[in-house]
Amino acid sequence: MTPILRVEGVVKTYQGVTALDGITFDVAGGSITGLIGPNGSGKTTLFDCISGFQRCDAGRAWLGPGGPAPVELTSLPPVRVARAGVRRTFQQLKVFPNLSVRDNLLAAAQSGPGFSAFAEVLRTTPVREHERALRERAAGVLAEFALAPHASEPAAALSYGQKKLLELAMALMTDPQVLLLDEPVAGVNPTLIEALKRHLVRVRDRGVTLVIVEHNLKLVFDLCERIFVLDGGRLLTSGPPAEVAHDPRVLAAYLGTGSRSPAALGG
Amino acid sequence: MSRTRAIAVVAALALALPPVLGSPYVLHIAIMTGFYVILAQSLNLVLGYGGLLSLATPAFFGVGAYAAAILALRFGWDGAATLGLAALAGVATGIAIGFPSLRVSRHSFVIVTLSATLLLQLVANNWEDLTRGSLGLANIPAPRLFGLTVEGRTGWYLLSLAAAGAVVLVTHRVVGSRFGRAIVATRENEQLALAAGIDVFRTRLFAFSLSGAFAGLAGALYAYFITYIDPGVFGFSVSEALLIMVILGGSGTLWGPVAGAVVFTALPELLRIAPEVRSLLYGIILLLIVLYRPAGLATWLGRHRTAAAAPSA
Repeated sequence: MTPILRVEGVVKTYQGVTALDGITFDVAGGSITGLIGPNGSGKTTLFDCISGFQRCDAGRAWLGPGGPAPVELTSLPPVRVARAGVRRTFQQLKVFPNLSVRDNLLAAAQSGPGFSAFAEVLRTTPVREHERALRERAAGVLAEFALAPHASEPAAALSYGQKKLLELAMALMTDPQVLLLDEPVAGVNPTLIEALKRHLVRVRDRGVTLVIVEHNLKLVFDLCERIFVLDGGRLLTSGPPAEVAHDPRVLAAYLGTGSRSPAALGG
Repeated sequence: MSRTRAIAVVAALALALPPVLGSPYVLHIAIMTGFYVILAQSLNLVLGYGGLLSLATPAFFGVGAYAAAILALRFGWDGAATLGLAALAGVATGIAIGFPSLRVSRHSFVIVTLSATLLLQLVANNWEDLTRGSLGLANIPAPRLFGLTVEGRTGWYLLSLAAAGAVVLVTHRVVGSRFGRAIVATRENEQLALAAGIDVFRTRLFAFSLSGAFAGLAGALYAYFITYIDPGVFGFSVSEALLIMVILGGSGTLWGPVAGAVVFTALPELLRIAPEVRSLLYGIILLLIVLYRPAGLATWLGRHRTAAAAPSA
C-alpha cells in the first residue's frame, strides 16, 4: 500500500477540551477510506486540521508522504492545501447560492494557472483558451452529474439533493488527489444516496483518494476499503469494514457498553 | 433590440446630448453624473460584487483629487500623467487601507474604512504645507491630455463620458473574468471559497485596490473640473450618495449602479422645481424604490443580481 495521506500524532485542544488526542494513520492512494465515530469524536476537527482550516497543536499531516515531494499540509493555509490537491466539503452544505450552477463549477476551479489583471482585462489569447477549456470541463462535469439542465439557474434554486451533487462536482473540478467528504449523503433520499455512491466509486476509479466522514454506516461499510473509528478524540480501531463492524469497542462507542448487534452498525 | 445595439443607441444619445441641450447647467450635471458613474462602479466592485460595505470610497476620491491638484499646481505635471498617478494613488490607498481592514470581520471592516477616511480628512486639514488645510487648493489648471487642453463644458462632458465608459468596460471585463468569479465567490461563501483554492484576502485586496483606482481617477477629474478642492472631498456625504446609487441602482450588477448614478444625480436637480418639498419628495421616491424595487433599478433593465457571469470570451 502506498500512502497518499499520512496523519501523524495530530493533537487539537479547545480551551482545555481535547478534541484530537494524537491521531495517527495512513490512507492508501486510490482508496475509499471511512472515518466514523459518534458525535463529538473529532472527525470534522481532523478534516479541519488536514485542510488548514484549523491549526493543530501538535502532529502533522502529509500529502504524498512516501513520494518524491511530500507536502506538509498542517503547515499550510486552506488555499494552499486546496492548491496542493486536497479538496474538502463541509458538514453544512455549502455552494455559492447566487451564482449559476455553471459558475459554481467555474469558481471552484480557480486554482489553475494565474494570469495578470491586465491579461484578464484584455482577454489575451491564453486567457481565452484557458477559459474555454474550463467551460468545456464544466460542461462535462455538469453532464456527468445530471446538472446540465440547471446550468444557468442559480444554485439556490436547486433541490437539496442536487446541491449535494453540485458540491461534489465542484470539488472535482480541479482533479484533486485527495477528497475529504464530510457527510456527503446527510439528509439525502435513498435513491439519490445510490446515485451518489455510484459517483463516488467512479471518482475513486479515476484515481482520486476519498476519505469519507459519514453517519450513514451502511454507505461506509458498502463503499470503504478501510475504516478508522474515532472516539473521544482518539483512534479507537481501524480495519476492513467486516472487522470494524464486529468490533465490540466500536459497538460500545456507538451504542453503549453491552451492545451486541453488528447489524445495528449496518455491517 | 440586441444588447450591442442598445448600448450603441445609448452611446449615440449620450454623445449627442451636449449640442442638443447646450445648457451649461445641464452639461454640468451630466459631467458630474459621469464622475458619479465611476464612483458608483468603484463602490459596486467592493459592495456589490465583493459583499463588503466599504466607506473608504471618499478616501480614494480625496487622495486622487489631492494627488492631481498637488502634482498640477506644485510640479506642473500635465493631465494624462496626473490622472494616471491619481489612479495609482487610489491603488496605493486601497492597499494601505485594505491590508489591515480586510483581515478583520465584515462589521469591523465598515468601521476601519470609515476611520481611515476620517483620518485622511484630518491629514488634509492639518498638513497645511502640502494641502493648505481648510483653505484648500485653488486654481487647478485645465488638464492637457495628449496635447489637447480640456476646456469648455462640451470638452469636459466628452472626457467624463469617455472615462465613465472606460470604467464600465473595465468593470465588465473584470467581473466576467476569473478575478470576477473569485470576488463574487468570496461574497457568497468565504469558507467554500478558501476550500476551492481562492485566496480570499488577496482577491478582496485586488477588488479594493481596483476600487481605489477608479475613485482616485474620479477624484482627479473632479479636482480638474471644479478647479478647487478642500478637505470636504473626504466627506461622508459622498459615501451616502454612493450607497443610494449602488443599492437602489442594483448592487452587484454592471448597469444598476450606472442607472443609479444617472437617476440619483439628476433627481435632486429635477426636484428643484419644488424647492420647498424637495427633500420630502426625494425621500418618498427613495422609499418607493426600496419598497417596490428592493433589488434596485437594474431589475427594470432585466439585470438581476447575478454572478460575475459574463458571456464566454
